[in-house]
Amino acid sequence: MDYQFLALTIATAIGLSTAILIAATGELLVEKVGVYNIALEGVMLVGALTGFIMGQTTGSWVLGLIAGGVAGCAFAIVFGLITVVLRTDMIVVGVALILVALGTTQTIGASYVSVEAIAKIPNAEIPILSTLPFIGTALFQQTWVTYIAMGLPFVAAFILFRTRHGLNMRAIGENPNAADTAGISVVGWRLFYVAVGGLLAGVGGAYITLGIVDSWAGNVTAGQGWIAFAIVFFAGWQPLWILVGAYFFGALSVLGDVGQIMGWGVPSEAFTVLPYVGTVAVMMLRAWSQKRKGAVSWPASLGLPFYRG
Amino acid sequence: MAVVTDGGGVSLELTGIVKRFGDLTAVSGFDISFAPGQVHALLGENGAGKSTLMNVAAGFLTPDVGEIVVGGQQVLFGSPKDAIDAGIGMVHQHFSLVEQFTVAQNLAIGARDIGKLISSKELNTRAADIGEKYGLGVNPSKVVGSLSVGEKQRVEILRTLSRGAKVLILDEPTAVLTPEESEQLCLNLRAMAEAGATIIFISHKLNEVLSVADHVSVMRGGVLVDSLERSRCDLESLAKSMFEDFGTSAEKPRSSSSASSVGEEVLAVRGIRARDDRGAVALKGLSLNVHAREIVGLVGVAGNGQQELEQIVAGIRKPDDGTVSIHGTQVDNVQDALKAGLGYIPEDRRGTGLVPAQPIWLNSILRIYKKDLVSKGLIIKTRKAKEYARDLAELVNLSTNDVTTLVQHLSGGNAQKLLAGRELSGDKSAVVAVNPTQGLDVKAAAAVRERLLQARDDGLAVLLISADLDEVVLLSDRIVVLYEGSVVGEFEGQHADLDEIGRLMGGESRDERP
Repeated sequence: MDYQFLALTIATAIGLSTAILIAATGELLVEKVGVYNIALEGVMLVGALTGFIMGQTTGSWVLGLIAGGVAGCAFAIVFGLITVVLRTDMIVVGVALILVALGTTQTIGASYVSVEAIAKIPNAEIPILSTLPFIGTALFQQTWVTYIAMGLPFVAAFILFRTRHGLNMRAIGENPNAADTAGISVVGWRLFYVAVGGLLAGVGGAYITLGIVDSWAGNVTAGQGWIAFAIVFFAGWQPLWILVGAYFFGALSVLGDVGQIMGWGVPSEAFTVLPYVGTVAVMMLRAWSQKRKGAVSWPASLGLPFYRG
Repeated sequence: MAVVTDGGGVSLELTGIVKRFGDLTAVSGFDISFAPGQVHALLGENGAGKSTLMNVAAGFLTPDVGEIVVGGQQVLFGSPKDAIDAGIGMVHQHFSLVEQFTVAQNLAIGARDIGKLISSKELNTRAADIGEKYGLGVNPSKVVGSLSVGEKQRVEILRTLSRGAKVLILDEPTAVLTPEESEQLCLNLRAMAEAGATIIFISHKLNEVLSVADHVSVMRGGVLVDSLERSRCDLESLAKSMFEDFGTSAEKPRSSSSASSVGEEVLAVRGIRARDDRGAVALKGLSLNVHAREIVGLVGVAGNGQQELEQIVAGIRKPDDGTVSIHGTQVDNVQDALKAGLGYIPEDRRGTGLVPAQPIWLNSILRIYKKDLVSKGLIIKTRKAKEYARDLAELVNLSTNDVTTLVQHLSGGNAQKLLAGRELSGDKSAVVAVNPTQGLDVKAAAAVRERLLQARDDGLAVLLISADLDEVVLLSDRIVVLYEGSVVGEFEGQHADLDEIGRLMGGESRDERP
């Protein structure tokens, strides 16, 4: 394997991870206030189709991403209203909403299948850096969205651990009663972050149709929402580990192509399941290491509806 | 002690508060007022309505009828935040602290007097200042999860005061504390009252109330039955107002059982090591034994390994190391425990002990359903089972003899009688009882205690795990003190030195006398 090929492989892996990275960072914020939006896959699908249609209609990928974000946000708010405000079961509602999203987008998007995107997100080569040997190819010939996505976990870390608001957010996720008696609106902020998470997942979804596969097809997200969901667990709710997790799974997804090009003689189907097998393996590893350390790092109220008193 | 109130004190008046839960009227409309500069004790049994009334005053519950007047101004609370803005703060038995946060971070939740960007240094300084202002020492940089219960309570009180509470309500604050911590708390509360704060102290412990309060109000069945200056009340009169039928039950001397009549070893726990659900070490090689015709009382501050021990003995939790045996037969799981004749009265009677949504008769046979008496193969003999249940109901003096009544419709006392009856009847050799009288009224508690003493006299080995030190002293032949997963002291029931037990519970090593 020559250097140029390795650099291109890394570049592809990073590019492929973008949607997952954006969605996972959003989901991290949601979970930090004690809610898990298990409908993430559905939210991404809604964003993916809306973004694609907007791109086709206006010819602008920026508008496409915005539309994807708005649609994802709206869809997530539905989830939030049902689970956070009405305090119903997050898993049941989440799975139902995924099926709703899958069916609806398939129907509405039928006429867009196999149409090539006209508003593809262009690569933005960073001057000077992109000409560096190896690193230039591997890191600095991505889209703007990918560069911004890399920064998102750092922004999340800053908000969570360096700001007053972040302290209150974490208090909501750890012990909503403590936050409530301090006059923090538990339901309000939970709903707000479900919306923010939906916005980011929607943008991530739109990135898939406008920046990765450049077309729409039913179930185009193909489990990326689930992987993003799992990465938050993998990362142990630590923002910077989201980055590690997303790139790790990006690398797994790209292995299939590498194998084919290199002629490893392994059927490509074997590689397409790698990210999913990898998810399971990593989760087991994590559970095992947590057991050994005796530490639990998830927000203590994660998944529990809030009742006063 | 620094000055607690910035201005003058604030009085709290509750007028005609009524609060119902379904059919139950928890508080049924009376007037009570709390003056600044006093510790005002609100005394009553469990279920008397004390906590409900105070939860209304602190904005956790909305009253159905009635008025709240703070410092002469009528107020309406929609949330605890409204109450604290009006100067009323409440410290519950279950603290609402973030265990994963430091003390300083906990004090900063929702605070507006800190910058939008935070640094741990700034938060620590702020927390130290708060501690100094109110005269309660805390270590700002310590993680709350690692603090003792007493320290956590101090953080909780500080947080309430730092939000501007001038009326401080404490719900059974000493229930979770060691005797020494309780004493310190009472000193702190007295000092706060002298500095002008209005302290409301909810309790069902008479002695404690008499030692700390300036004014005592007694509630019973949702109404105010007495409200007196401290100087005008005494133990007996308070007890009389607290319990309608005082005298039948309260402090009955335990039936005599001299140490010599204790039989052979029945329950043997050897070198148990175990972890809790989160993987932290809970039991560090604990050993103890209980003989026939003996009640061994295990005391300790909650969370020192009692729960893990209880579950291991009952066979529902696996230890990392060590054995439990009954009459020499090792117990590894629930079936072993049942076969060996172990009764188990868990603390969570409606969750672990009984199935509330099922009738009395099914609950009665829950642990013997495999026996020929009530079943044949896979089939339950319904008629036989109901007969069995009726006998049991009669034996334990249940309020109803209709065994098709769902357990969820039984009162706490009756549910516990049923559970204790079930676990003590049949061919039993040992029993583990955990806080068996918690939450019961005096009569039901006495009945359950009587059953345990009866079981002991019938030759059972009784392991009593209780947070109620008085109860343990009342019933036990031998008292074992648990601290951080180890036995740190053992006393003869008759000669137990309460102060010493309290010190050991708090983690002080046993006095080393020359």
